[in-house]
Amino acid sequence: MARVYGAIGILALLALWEAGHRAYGAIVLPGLDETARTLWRLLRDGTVGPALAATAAHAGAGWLLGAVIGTLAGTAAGLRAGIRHMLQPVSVVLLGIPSIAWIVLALLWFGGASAVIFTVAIATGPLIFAAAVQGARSLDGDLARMARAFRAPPAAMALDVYGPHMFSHLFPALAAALAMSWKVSVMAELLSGAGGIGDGIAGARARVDTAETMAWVVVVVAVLITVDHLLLRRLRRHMELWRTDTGGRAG
Amino acid sequence: MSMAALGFDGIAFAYGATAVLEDIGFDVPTGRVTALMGPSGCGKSTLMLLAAGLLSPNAGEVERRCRRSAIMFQDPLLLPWRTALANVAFALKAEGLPAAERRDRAAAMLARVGLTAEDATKFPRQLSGGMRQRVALARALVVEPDLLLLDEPFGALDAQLARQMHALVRDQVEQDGATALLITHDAQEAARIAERIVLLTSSPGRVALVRDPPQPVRQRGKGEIASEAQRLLACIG
Repeated sequence: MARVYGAIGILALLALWEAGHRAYGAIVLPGLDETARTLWRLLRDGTVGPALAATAAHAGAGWLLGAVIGTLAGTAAGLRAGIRHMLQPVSVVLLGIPSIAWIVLALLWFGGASAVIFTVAIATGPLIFAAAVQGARSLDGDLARMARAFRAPPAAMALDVYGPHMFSHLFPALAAALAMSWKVSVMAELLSGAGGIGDGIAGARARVDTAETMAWVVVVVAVLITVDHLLLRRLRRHMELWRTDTGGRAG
Repeated sequence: MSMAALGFDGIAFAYGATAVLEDIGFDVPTGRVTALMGPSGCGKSTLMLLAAGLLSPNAGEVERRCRRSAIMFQDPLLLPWRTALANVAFALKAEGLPAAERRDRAAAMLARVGLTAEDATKFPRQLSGGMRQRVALARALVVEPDLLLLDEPFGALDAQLARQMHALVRDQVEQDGATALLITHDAQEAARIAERIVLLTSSPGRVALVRDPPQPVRQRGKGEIASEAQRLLACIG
């Protein structure tokens, strides 16, 4: 039933799009058919593949950098009050700076692909930092005591006790940061000319080609939905097995 | 009597300025069940943590003469993100066994505590309180301990299930020559299964009584158990 309602929502959105096209014309909003034809052309002439790969590389590298730094700094801050008091205001300041400002600064400092990767990392890192702080602060001392009582080796402590706990706190932030990294990456590419989907959109804007712009938007949304369905939902479903009571018995 | 598997000699322990245990001295004889009783807050659980080596005493000495100890807490303390099978197998990680052998031994022990193969695949949140306690008991027994430390583990179970679990502990003691130190509030249970009963005073805990009921455990009838329990309850006051 949920799928039926989901399909109704998507169809309503497409109907609004088509209505907007008919009301305001192709320059403002191209029709569904024209956008589909343009997307097909971009796919066939080999424009989409390399652009997609470049954006994936930029977003992935930036996300990974933000995730590693955010997790390490957040864990240290969660475990040590001094580090927490030092880093939390820094995180708030970084979160308060708009991504667009980071892009401009990064273009001046690095330029090219490095500017895109840096912008993604600096935009996503503080989100992951906050989640890691919460995760490290809520580590269960009793479970660690149990594991020590069974003489669990360090690898087992990391993989069976601390790791899953931290991951359960980090996962929502990592998923949100992954979606954010795509959007920030496209925005940074648009301004930096470092290749990727953002560069494609910049070209379409220069040619006042609204249909091509919409085709690129469709590509970005399709990638986000695919990643969400193939990866994030599966992980979320697995975690829900142990986080919610799906089959408890009394007695 | 054989040498004690565990000995407390002049133990004192305090959390900050609050004295919890003072001058604790008694032996836990090898191959026997020793029941530890006392009012709430008298330091029984702290004494258990000292026995497990998870705390160090402020004074005195804990003498452990065992190869492998296992502890079962009041709370099952299962890893919520691991299935019942993986929780039991986790206890064997220190042994350096191959994963398949860990799984096989864990599955056999879960069957021994009365859980099905289907239960073994469930996460702790999907099990009832009693089933979680049985998983915790399986985790303690799977390492084949020669010293079992049981901190009131069956308080949440109904009487029949608690008796089954106590029988499993007794099997471990009688068949494998293990030693058990068991905290309980139930004088009847202590009188039924323990060769030695140690009673602590209220906080700070001191030894009020060390008693070895005269009849062997298997020969105790309802009358002997009831009168022994009466005697204990009279001492507790």
